[in-house]
Amino acid sequence: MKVYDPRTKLVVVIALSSLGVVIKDASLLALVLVVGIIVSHHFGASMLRAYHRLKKLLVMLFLIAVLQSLFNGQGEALLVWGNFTFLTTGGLMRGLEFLLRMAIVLLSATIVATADEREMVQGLVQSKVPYELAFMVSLGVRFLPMLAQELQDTMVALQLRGIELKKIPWRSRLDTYVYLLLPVLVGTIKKAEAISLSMETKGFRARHRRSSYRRLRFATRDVFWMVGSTMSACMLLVLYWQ
Amino acid sequence: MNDAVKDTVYSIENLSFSYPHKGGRYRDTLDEPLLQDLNFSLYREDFTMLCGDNGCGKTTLGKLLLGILRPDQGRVLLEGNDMQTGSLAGTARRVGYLFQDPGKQLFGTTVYQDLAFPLRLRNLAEETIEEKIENILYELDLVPLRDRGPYVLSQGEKQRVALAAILLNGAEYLVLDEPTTSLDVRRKEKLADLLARLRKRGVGILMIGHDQDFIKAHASRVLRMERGGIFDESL
Repeated sequence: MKVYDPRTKLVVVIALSSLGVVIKDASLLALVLVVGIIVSHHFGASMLRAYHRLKKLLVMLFLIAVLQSLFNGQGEALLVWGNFTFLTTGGLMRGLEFLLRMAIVLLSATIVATADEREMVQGLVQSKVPYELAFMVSLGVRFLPMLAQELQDTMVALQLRGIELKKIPWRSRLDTYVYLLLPVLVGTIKKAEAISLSMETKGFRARHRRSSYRRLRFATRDVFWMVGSTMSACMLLVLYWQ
Repeated sequence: MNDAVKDTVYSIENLSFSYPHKGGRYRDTLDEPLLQDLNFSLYREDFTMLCGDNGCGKTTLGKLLLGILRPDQGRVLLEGNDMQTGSLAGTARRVGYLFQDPGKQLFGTTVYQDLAFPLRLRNLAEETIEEKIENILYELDLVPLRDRGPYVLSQGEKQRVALAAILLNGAEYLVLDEPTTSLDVRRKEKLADLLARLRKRGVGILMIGHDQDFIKAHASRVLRMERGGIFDESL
């Protein structure tokens, strides 16, 4: 597998996700998705692994797509019960577009995930992004799984208090979720404090300029992918708007 | 006391457990087994200490006993019932689990609110809730902390608040994960007194820890974990 500069991956991801967000035509979105799958595979992303990790999110997205499809008055009626039209061709297309769009965004995330965190910071710094911002981006990426773990631990702790969330009424359940917030918030603030203290002790921004042992250099294949993806995305958008 | 006449709380049969390995190409695979083919029982009458080196799986075993983790193979029977069939909350009403960091199991803005909210969810009358809480606050020497925020308390105080919540839940067996780790000698003695009082009330205890002095002074049974197996040192 070829090694790419993280900036190349960022440009490709921006091109793909921009197309995913701007285009509102299901067949074009499907085309972008297919291209995205090929590109993602080329960059070494494992879609099967991503599927296993995001299974729950995918189910939720599918349900949202179903909800978006229902009760949409546009197009020909497909499912009618009495006076109610449940599903129309317009609704079906809207749900499909939503699913394709989200698939493109998730696919883009799998491409970014193949980049090394340290290299990603270096790439951003070399692209003239201030070091503080670049570092915060990488810290944020690392913080998200920690936050998810914190929430999961708190849910377990709540159940260990003898509370079965599934069995309590909706109103009380909402009150219980408020109790979840406090330990998660306290845990997150404590972690943030520990990280900031650790950064201070390691001399973060002790000097104004920071040199780096590692310098990223674009290879020919990086230039090819960056120029190719940007131009393809622009051409597709021009064709789409015409 | 002869095991035959003891009240068996847990029976562990051929229990094996591995953590998932995150580096798999397509999905998480299983690591080498951390616990392998464990067979033992825990009795209500005992103050059992579970000790062993760091990383040998003591906390993992504690989590398996509560149903926080599920075994790969074998069964954990709580009073004869397979844990796989019950819910975590259901188990927690019979067995209390004290985290290594008790701050993780506190939820309320004050100690009183923290103890009250699970009881309110059970639709108990406010007078009953107040009575129960006042009793437990008195029993665990927490009355002066009643209206203080649980997050500003010391480790020992947080521990007692978490224990109060566990006992209000109706737990008759306790799994304590390294409760003496960050306590000084005086607080360790206080904890020992509290546990002795709970034992007199008929509460069984499994304590995970390294503290050899505490083990010698208080444990009636010692289980040692080594190389994925478990050995009863009391025999």
